[in-house]
Amino acid sequence: MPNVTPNTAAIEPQKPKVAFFEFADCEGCQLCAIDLTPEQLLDLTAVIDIVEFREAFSEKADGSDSTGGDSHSGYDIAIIEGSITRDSDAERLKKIRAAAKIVIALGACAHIGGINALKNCQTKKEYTEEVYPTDPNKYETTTAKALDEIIKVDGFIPGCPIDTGEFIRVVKNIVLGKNPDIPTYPVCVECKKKENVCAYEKGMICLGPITRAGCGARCPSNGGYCFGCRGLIPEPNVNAQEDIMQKYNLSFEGMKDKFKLFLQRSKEVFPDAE
Amino acid sequence: MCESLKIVGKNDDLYLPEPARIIEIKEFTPQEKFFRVEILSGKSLGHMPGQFVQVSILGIGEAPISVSSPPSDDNKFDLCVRAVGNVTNKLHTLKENDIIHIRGPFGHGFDNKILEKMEGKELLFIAGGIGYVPLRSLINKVLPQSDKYKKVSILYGCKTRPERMYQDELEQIHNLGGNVELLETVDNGDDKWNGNVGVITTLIPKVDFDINNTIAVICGPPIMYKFVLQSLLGRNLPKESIYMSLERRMKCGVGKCGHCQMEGVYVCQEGPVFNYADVQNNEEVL
Amino acid sequence: MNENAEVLLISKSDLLAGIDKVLASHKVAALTTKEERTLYDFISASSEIELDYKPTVLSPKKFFFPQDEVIVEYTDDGKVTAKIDAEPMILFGIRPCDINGIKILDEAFADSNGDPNYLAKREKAVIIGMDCKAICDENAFCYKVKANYAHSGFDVMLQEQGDKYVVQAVTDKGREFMKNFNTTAGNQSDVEAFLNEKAEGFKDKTPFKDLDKLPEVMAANYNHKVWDEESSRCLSCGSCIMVCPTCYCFDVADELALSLKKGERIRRWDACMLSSFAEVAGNENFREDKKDRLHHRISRKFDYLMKKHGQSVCVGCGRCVRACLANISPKTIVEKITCDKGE
Ligand SMILES: Cc1cc2nc3c(=O)[nH]c(=O)nc-3n(C[C@H](O)[C@H](O)[C@H](O)COP(=O)(O)OP(=O)(O)OC[C@H]3O[C@@H](n4cnc5c(N)ncnc54)[C@H](O)[C@@H]3O)c2cc1C
Ligand code: SF4
Ligand code: SF4
Ligand code: SF4
Ligand code: SF4
Ligand code: FES
Repeated sequence: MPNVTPNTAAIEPQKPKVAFFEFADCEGCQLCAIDLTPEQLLDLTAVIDIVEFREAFSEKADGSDSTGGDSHSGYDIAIIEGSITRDSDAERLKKIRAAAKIVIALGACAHIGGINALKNCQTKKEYTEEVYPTDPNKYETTTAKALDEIIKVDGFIPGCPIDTGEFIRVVKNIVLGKNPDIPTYPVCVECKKKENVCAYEKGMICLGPITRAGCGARCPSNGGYCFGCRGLIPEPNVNAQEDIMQKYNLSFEGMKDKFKLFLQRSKEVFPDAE
Repeated sequence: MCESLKIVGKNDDLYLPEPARIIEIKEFTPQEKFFRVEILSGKSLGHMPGQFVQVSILGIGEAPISVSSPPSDDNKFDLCVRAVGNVTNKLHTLKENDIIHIRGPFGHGFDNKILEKMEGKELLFIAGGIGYVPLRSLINKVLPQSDKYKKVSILYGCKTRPERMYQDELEQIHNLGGNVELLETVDNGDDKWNGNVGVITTLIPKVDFDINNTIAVICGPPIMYKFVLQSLLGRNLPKESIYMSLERRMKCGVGKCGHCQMEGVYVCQEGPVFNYADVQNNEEVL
Repeated sequence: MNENAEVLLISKSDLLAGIDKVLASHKVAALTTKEERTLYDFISASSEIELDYKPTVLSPKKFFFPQDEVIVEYTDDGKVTAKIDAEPMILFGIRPCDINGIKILDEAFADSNGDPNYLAKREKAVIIGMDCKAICDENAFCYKVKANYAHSGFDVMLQEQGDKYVVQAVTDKGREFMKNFNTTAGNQSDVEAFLNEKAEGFKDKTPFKDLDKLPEVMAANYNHKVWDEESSRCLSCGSCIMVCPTCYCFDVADELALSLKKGERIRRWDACMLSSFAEVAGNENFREDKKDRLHHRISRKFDYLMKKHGQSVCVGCGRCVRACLANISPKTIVEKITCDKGE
């Protein structure tokens, strides 16, 4: 029987084995990833084998039980959530990289450092004393980093939190041998397609023009503004933001504050960040 | 005045691809594969040399690929594909008997007017890398009737020796003799290569051609055109005697999506084959 | 407009009552306000209609050429079908700039490769125009390109005269449509009265200098400094293209269902202002510079496509000017090139 696309020609003979791991995060993105309808979940498990997922079940990829550490064998794709905030995490991450064929960063923390990187705007002394006033040295912690600052990452699923639809699309595309197809254009494109009133018209500062689309302009569509959780587009014209601020009589300082929330690790915005 | 909308040529199948079967696959290089394809409905593709088809892998996408075989009456034709992305990588995983889909043929190729103009002339083909693929549909039409032309010179350049495509055919062309010559070069030589080493323009001084009686046809990577044109124009070959086949991003193939535009020119409609004189003032050509 | 078209008069209340009647059997899209947004959308009662124009983010092009549209469907048994959806619909209250925009899209899509998806929807639509008496806001510049007058591309034109409308039904579809309404006979002088009022409203609003010669002027100014000056602020955000009634470039992508057993080929609005628009394999980008992208966008309007359509392809609706955070305007660019001081 010859291959009739799209079916067998498109599917790899073996279902890839997928393991989920997490670092410094809120686990929200993993919850989004499994926030599927029963049909979606069935379809998903028909094309991939989830072998390790602390959020959902206790078996481990290498056969041990969940009380142990990560597995370092038994999976093709590692989907990793969270940013790297400790030296020991970096070592753990490298081991996962060595064991996986494909590494996917899941969510803003893993992709661009996420909210965790906000603390990088303060000195270590400042933030440890603020968070743990009685015992600032209780936990090991350093500059929060995105995964790709430490290891090679093959793909990412951006957002804080991620978009379940996009998660499915990326997984599907990987199974099909396709590029993940994360948009390279900014949030404004999706925002305009939805005919939203622009946040700037309402006196807000919006990072939509320099932020990667794919969320369907989630925040502006709900009356807010984009705070850049999906990271920058490939060639953001960050300087032009200054002109916009002038046009709308807003302060560029206010915009720089907005940058800190999600774009702390982005060289285009903070070239001098450590 | 105020007439209702005039519907000209509404084509319900404009975007509908039709099934075709892969009947033969050859691996030329790790990146380039040859596919012989037959249209399932049995109809002939009916293309002119230089035209392209939109090749679909359903679920993956569509990509414009040149028809690499000369026009024929049967339902079979050749493609040669370099794996660079979604569709082309997937094509490389397919096997003989697998079904793909196609739309086309599209574009303006070497039409009868151009073919007539070529008769009795010296033909100078200049192909760089995968640029040999679109020209092959014309070369393989011309070679069996080479007596119709004063001379046929084919210049073919690749980055390295293993990247040469259609090696068996190249061997045959080398052996044809008569008024046919094939000159090859590679950018980087190796110990198995004893031919010319250097970029394609280093071959041009090696051919004699009568500037008043020669038609040159160029296809290659974007950077190549500028240097080849300089070299040909430097030898006073008239612009009208130069044809080039161009590549642009294409999505629809039928003059709608706008991706292939060079200034106001839709490459998928007016090209991919252009006479240089017609587009010399178009700033987006080179 | 056709001098011999029958002229009718209708009161505002009869117009709205007629629309309610039509709504019982037809889908009607009109200018309406939803939450904070004024937009063209389907309505369920005539009371939802905004009779006075407020600029919208998107033009009515979305009804014929939607943001995202499935064009091919397939299943894993090898069945592949062209998906062409079209429902009869009435577009009510379309202003002259947008009618001119639709006319340009009609010509672009109904060429020798007639686009089935656009044309199927377009064929089934009835377009009820609503003439303007004055410029809608400071960003619009329809008069600069003479698009404040619509001469064709509609089925019925309404012109407001006090508490009534002058009605001209110029096509069979339009005349058929007007049968739903309670009208009285009018005459040519009613039209003239409106046109006089309109001329007054657009007094001192003059077209671009040498409007008809813009293609040559643009071509001669390929290397004008305006391209650098204006594009330096550009964010390559694509907003200007999304909102434009006469931009129609698209991307095509395949989406397989998660089951991998069926899928769709979807076309989506694309934008030549986005950096990847002209990229091909091997890291080659034929319009890498935002300056070249802005040049292309503006030249399509006033040069390349203007030559093809015989009229400016920018209809001066002002949407891109409102949308552009960087304050980049086709009007300013043309004025700088033609050394036109504006009005
Ligand atoms: C008229 C014409 C004839 C061609 N003939 C041949 C041929 O005979 N053999 C051959 O191997 N290739 C040919 N190409 C190039 C081929 O079309 C592209 O390599 C192919 O479209 C890439 O598609 P993809 O899905 O594999 O890659 P994608 O995953 O879509 O993208 C990979 C890269 O290719 C670029 N790209 C995407 N779509 C296109 C597109 N439509 N055209 C060009 N680049 C694109 C992307 O920007 C990206 O950099 C031709 C192109 C044209 C315009
Ligand atoms: S609200 Fe933000 S994303 Fe939307 S158009 Fe305005 S700047 Fe762009
Ligand atoms: S609009 Fe911006 S902040 Fe909101 S989800 Fe999208 S990318 Fe994130
Ligand atoms: S270019 Fe701007 S003003 Fe002109 S038609 Fe398009 S959106 Fe309207
Ligand atoms: S809207 Fe303005 S900033 Fe955005 S792409 Fe268009 S011209 Fe550039
Ligand atoms: S490929 Fe779509 S217009 Fe040429």
